[in-house]
This record gives sequence, structure tokens and C-alpha cells, in this order.
Amino acid sequence: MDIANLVIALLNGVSNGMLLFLAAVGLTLIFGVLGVLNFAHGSLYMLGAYFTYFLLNSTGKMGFLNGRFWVVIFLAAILVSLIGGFIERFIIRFVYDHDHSFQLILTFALVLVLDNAARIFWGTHFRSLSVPDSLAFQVDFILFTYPAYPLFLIILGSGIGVMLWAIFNYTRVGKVIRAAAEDRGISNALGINVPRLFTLTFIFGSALAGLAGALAAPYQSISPAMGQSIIIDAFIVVVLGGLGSFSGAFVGAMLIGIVQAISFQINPALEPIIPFALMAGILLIRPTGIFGKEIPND
Amino acid sequence: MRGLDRRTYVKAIAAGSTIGMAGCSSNNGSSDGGDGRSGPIKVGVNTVLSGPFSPYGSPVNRGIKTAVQEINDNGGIEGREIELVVKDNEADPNKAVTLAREQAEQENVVAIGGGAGSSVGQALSEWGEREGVIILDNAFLPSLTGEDCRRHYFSFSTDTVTIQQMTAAQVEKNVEGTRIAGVAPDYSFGRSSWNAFKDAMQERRDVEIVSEQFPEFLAGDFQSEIQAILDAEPDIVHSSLFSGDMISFINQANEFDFFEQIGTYVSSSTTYLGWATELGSSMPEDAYVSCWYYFPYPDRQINKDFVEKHREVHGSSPQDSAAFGYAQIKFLAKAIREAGSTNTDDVISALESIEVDLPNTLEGQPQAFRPNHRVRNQALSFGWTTESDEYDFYELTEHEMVVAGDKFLPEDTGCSL
Repeated sequence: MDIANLVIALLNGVSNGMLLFLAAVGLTLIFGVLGVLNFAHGSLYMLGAYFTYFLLNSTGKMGFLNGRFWVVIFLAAILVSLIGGFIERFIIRFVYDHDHSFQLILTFALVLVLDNAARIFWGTHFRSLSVPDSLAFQVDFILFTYPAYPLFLIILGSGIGVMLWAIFNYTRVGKVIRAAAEDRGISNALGINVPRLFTLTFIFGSALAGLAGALAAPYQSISPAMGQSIIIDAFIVVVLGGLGSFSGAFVGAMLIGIVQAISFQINPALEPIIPFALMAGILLIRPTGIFGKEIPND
Repeated sequence: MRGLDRRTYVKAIAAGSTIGMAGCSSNNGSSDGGDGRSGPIKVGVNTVLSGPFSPYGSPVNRGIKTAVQEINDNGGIEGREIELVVKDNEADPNKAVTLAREQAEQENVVAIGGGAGSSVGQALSEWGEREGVIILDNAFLPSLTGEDCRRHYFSFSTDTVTIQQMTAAQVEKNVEGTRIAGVAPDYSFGRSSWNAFKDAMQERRDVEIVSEQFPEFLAGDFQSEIQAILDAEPDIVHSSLFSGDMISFINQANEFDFFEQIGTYVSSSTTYLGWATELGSSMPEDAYVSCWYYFPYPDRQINKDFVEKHREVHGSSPQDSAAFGYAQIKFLAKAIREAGSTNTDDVISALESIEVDLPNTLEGQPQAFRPNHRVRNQALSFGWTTESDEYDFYELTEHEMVVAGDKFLPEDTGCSL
């Protein structure tokens, strides 16, 4: 393998990893703060892709959005966040104090509802979007050229990662969320409106899922089942990095993306088993995941 | 993090990931008494209407409904209307058999049509033979219509090996180049398609296989495969990717200027319109593709009538596999007329002997099942993709229809009935 091929493989791995990070970070956020295993996160990702597709192809009164990719991806994220807010406020809120198996069944039911709603409203066939014109070019790196869109994913994903890290470490909002995640009762006693905080967190996590789906839309086919394939990888990232850890989600996603891309160069048959092999290997060495904290026994 | 340890979490993921996604099923039939001589003739549709294979099953279902509407509008079969009992098998063989049992036992259907790939075809073929129910399918597995053929089972699709032999013959005639790369989905259909094409090309031309890529089905990311093929500098890239994979591959390949760097892209997925209509202007120019049926051709009245009826019933032009569904019902209706009843044995005998003129047949070449071969003498369409002034997808130019016939179908099928 020459240097150019190695760098291209690394770029492929990082861009894939970045998309995975964007899909997984909302999942880990919701789990870390609310303690909810949200199986419907993949469906929110799917909705983000569909909203992007329809908004970019809209006509009539919404026709001004036609072709405005930059506006539409954020609009899609906002629409998904509203659905997320509705789900948290009127459905998930009622099972916070129940056994986790209830949460699992409930969010799995939401997967069925959302995916089948997509089938009913939008059909079962695959949809396709093109990369926006402003990113439909190749960047010249002297030894090789590389498409601009995956480079854009790398830059945007890194930016969002840094932003989240700064929010949770250096802002009051971040500290309040972390406090509520640590102990809901004491946070309540200190005057924090925990239910509202939970709703806002779920909205934000859903927006991240919607944004990830919107960014995947021009690069992958869009279908009602697209959330099912991403959710398993996203869960693996969350376990690999450590439950509820943002840094863990980032490192886990990068690890999967890069190791998959490099292993393809050695033997393509290894590529599909890499996420599972990595998860098994890391959990054997570090059962709480790369950045996971030890959980005291009750 | 509250109350949930890692072990429970990992167990939960495992449990969740193994639970299948439930789809929708619909039942358009009534329960008014199956095959009463004066009532409607019930026909089951057991196909895939949800999930990644639905782009194949949904057009089949639309083709079936178009044929039924056409027949019923013209007075039905000897005055009896056809009534459909539609079920979504989600491409799951076990579910397909369960639904088929319901269709046969509760709805008393005279035959079950549809089709959803080889594993479902195999399961329904075995079940139909055991239960004495006629199965009208579109599976590509050669053994289903050859050495493992069964009396109650009829396939309306040419098998994978024959398709690739036909594709190789067309490539030899129309496409230059000796350095060949292949990309195919990593399961039995993809691998057998590529192997059959590779073998057929090696028999026809002195070719060098420079790259073979088998991405995971619906992997979503093809960047590594695209780069590997580009590194091999092929003259011809053969692809049997289909469904969402084809869309993702072409979208990503466009970003790498893939089609400008290779010789010719040859797609033998046979479901061209399914992805071309979605890709629109993202479709590469001058790709050489095959399809089951390309509605603008042939220029015959029977085809124009079918397209018009399909648009009337569904509001859209028929896609490739719609021709299968339409053919199934036209064959069945003619067989029932010939048999003079819906008796299974009589209908099977009629199916074995009749000839039917169809939208995707050439003038004077009606289709029929070959003796000792449970597959129809099917035609394939080939052409070059080019931007269209008439349609919102890339149309096919230099269109050719090739009938499998004795030239491509095996002399000894291994089928003995």
C-alpha cells in the first residue's frame, strides 16, 4: 500500500467515523443524562434524511427551500428535534421511574411506529439526493485528489464535537445537565427544573440524530429502514467509548471508522466484523468502555 | 448514570438487535367463500412490500393489480372477477410460508403469485408442492427451475446464470475492453452473478480480472471499494448491485469522478428503472445496463396498453419487475380459461402448454414455459444510459431486446416431472 492509498483510506475511515459519531453522540447524551436506552434514535436519524430530501425537493409555498442545502439540513434537524420533544414529553417521560425493560420495549415500539409511518407516508422505495453543488468537487492534495463532501463531514463533525465538549465542560448549562445526570433528586432540591432539562436534552439529542441523517442523505440511499442499520453501529460506539461519555463516543466512532478502512486494505472480508471485534476486545480489557466510569455496586 | 449497568445495557442491545422489524401487511381480499363457482376467483399475492427488497416486490404487486384491473374491466374470467389477497412477506421465508398457508386455508386462493427472492422462492416451492398450491414466482436460483423443479412451481424470471450469460454476450458485442472489475453484494445472489458473468466473459474474450469487490449488502459506504476499483484501472466495471446499494454506490462514485476514470460501467441488476428514476441527473452517462422490462419498448400496441393501464391504476409508469406480476396474472387467467375450471391439476397442465403474448415480448414471439423447465422464455432489455428530454430519468438508447431462448437456456435442465 503506498502513502497516497494509506492517506485516502484514513480519510475514508475518519469521514465514516465522523458520521457515526454524529449519530452516536445524541444517543450517548440521552443515555448519559436521562438514563434511557433510546432504540428510536435510528428512526430519528432516518427522519432527518427524509426531511432533507423533501425540503430540498419542495415546491409551491416551500419552493424557496429547493436546493438550499445549508438551510435545509438545519431545518431538518429542528423538525426532528420537535418530534423528539413530543416523544419525550408525552411518551418517554412516563417511564423514567419504571424498569429499563419498559423503556426498551417503549422505544422499540417507537421504532415500529416511526419506520412504518415513513413507509405509509413516503413509500418503501429508496430515495436519492445529490451532494450540493458547492461541495461537488475534488480537493487536490498533490499526491491524490479527494472529494470535498467527506472532507466537509470531517470538519463539521469535529466542530460539533469541540462545541459539545466546550458546552459540557465550560458553560453553566453543561454543568447543570451534568449535575442532573449525576443526581436528579439533589438537582431538583437545588432549584433545577429537572423535567424541563430532560426534555431539552432529549430535544438536543434528537436534533443531533436528525442532523446526522441530513448529512448522510446526499451520500447514502434514503429508505425507511436506514435507521436500523445505523442504530446497531451507534450502540456499539456508545459501549466502546463508555456509556454516556462524549469523548468516548468520538474516540469509539473514529476507532471503528479508521480500523475498518485500514483492514479493508489488508483483507476486505475483515471489514464487517471489525466493530464487533473491537467491542469484544475493548470490553475484555476495559469492561466499562474506553472512557466509562466504574459503577459502584448497590 | 442511573440504575443501569453495562451488562444490562449490552444485553439490551443484543436483544433489541435480534428482534426483527415488523412490517405492514394488508389484505385486500374478502372472506366471501373462496372458489365458489359463481363468486370471484381469489388469487394470493405473497411478495415483499417493506424493507430493502421492497423496490423489487412493490412493482410486482402493481403489475399484478394492473393485470387484474384489466381482466376485471373486460368481464373477468368467464364472468368471474379476480380478487386479490395481498400479503407482505418482508422477504422472510418463514413468514412467506405462514402467509401462504393463511391465503390457501382461509381465503382458498387458486394460486399464489408475487415473488421475493430465492430463499422465499425455495420455501414456497417446497410448501406449494406439499400442499398442492400453485406458486407463481420470480426467483433467480437456477436449481429451483432445474434439478429441484416441482410441478406446482413456475418462475417468471430467467435465472442468474442465464442473465449473466446474456449480459456477457451483449458486452462482447457492444463494449470494448479486456481489464474487468466486478462489484457485487456479498451474498449468494451477488457472488453467483459475478462468477457467472466472469466465466462467460472468459469464454468469449481474453480478459483479465483486475478487481473483485463484495461489499456487505446495504453497507451504505462504498468509498473503499470505489478506491480499490479505481486503483485497478479497469476497462469494464461489472456491477450487480441493486436497490439502495446501487444509489449509494453511484452517489459516492460520482464524488470520486469514478465514471470519468473507468472505461464502461455495466450494470446487470436488471432493475434499471427502480434506481434510475431516483438517481435522476446523478446517473452516469453511457453506462451499459440490462433490465427486465423497459416500458418505452417494444413499440407494440400490447405494451402501450399495459403502460396506459398501469398509469391509470397506479398513476405511474411500470417499473422493471411490474412485467413479472402482469405476466403471472395473464398466464394464470389464460390457463384457467383453457382448463375450463380452477382445478389445480388442470390449471397446471394448461400453464405447461399455453403461449401468452405480453408487453415485453417481440412480435410473433409469445412466451411459454419450456418442457421440463419451470422457467418462462424471458426477454431482457439492454441499452446505454443517456440524458433524456422526455423523462426525468436517464433513458436507454440503442435499446435491444434479447430473448433467452435455446441459445442461453440450458438444454438439459435436470428437471424431470
